[in-house]
Amino acid sequence: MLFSSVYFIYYFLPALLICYYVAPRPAKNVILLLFSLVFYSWGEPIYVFLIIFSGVFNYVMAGEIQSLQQNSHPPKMSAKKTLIFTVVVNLFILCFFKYYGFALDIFNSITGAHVKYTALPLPIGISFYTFQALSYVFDVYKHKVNIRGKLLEFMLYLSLFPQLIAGPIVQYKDVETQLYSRSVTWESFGYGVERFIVGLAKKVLLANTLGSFHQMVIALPQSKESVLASWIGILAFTFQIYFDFSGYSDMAIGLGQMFGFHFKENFNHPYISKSVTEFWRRWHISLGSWFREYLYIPLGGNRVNPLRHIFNLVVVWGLTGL
Amino acid sequence: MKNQLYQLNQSQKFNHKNTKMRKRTDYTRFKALLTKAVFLVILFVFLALVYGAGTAKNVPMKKIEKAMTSSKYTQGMQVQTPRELARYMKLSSTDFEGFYYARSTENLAVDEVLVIKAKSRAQLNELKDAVEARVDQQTKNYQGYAPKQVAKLKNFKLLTKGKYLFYCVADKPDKISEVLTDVI
Repeated sequence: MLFSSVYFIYYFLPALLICYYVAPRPAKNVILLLFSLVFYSWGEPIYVFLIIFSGVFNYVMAGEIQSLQQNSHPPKMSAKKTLIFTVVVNLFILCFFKYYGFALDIFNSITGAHVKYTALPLPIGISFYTFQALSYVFDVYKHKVNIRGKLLEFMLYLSLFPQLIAGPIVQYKDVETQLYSRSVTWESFGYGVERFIVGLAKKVLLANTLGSFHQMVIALPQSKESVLASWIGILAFTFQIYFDFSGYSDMAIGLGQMFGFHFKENFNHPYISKSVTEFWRRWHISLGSWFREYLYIPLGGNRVNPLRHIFNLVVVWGLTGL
Repeated sequence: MKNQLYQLNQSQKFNHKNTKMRKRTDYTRFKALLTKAVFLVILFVFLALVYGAGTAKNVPMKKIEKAMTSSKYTQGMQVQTPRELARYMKLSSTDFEGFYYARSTENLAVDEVLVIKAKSRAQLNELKDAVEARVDQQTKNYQGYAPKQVAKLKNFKLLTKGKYLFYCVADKPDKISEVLTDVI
């Protein structure tokens, strides 16, 4: 289900708003979780079990890491082993769905084998919720977050529908308080609606129209391609991806506001950047922050010798591309 | 002597405590390992299920067409051309590997069957949107004066398997879908 679809705007969102605001406070998180899972299951229902599995798995592993760190027996090394195990399983799930077909193609072309496979549809939002789960586990390991003991709130954090499909990637510590207690004022609700409408306009009016221009240009036969048409196609594509992605982020932030969640901004006029470094601080900010905090800085960042710095950059950008 | 007995007693207590703690540690380790093993088993079973559910034999469209036309549930339907596919379903046959489209020969009947073999799974979402748009349009067309047809439209069948999409509006859409699933 897309935010711009008729089903979402005329059926899903009104039903959710009514149920959410009618329900008593203790039931609000349950309502939000159920609707989020319904939203997720709209595309490929079978994958809702994957997100539930990911939630339960990461929650249990984080609990084990915390308890291992608090006990002197067994030794604290076990907490690190559990962390590594959790990270490996999460990355395995992500890479399996994204790249097993590609990996088999490479294997077939190198070895000359003809291993057949069936391409599986990619679970929607798998990158987003996997990164969010990993951020939670890392924060527990680094004692930045204390487990409050409720699986419900963690599942809600992982599967919250506004940011499930296209981000922004939300770190647990940024929304921890909001998961347990949040309030909505008329002003914040109104701002959320406004932000949602702006995002919808960006997506439907701008991104889709520019996308059509781009499709028209790339469909031109080579003999009819002109320099001007090519540039129009390039510019159309450039702004299509910006309006599409930032529009979704605006809708996600707006929807979050309607339910009392304050997500961080994900785009900050990226095309006015004067350098590539600045660009990546303005484009998909939540992704850059995630990799900076959980990978680049732990690897040493730029406070190492030049060779190691290059290695760090290659690893971070390689995994970002992945 | 008393001191020695006292020390012996204390060391026995210490050893007993150590043994208890070691047993608790071993139990905790075992529980942790078992938890991890259970999660891995669940994960691999799920992945196997997903893989199995997503597979479909690579069958030529001619075979599917033969199976569909010879089924008793599609008698009374006429096979349509690519032009009619574009006209009614708003789909271009050149975008896919193959298709089978049949509609009822009666003017006021909504019965139709569509099987599309997409070039990639990514096309399936777009196809689903096209089918839903078709059903909505047909429902609007027949609302108010053909309740039987509207009821058939409400019970339309839409499924995907592998790269195949199946859409059907009929009295027994499940039976017709079985014809396809048996072939693929």
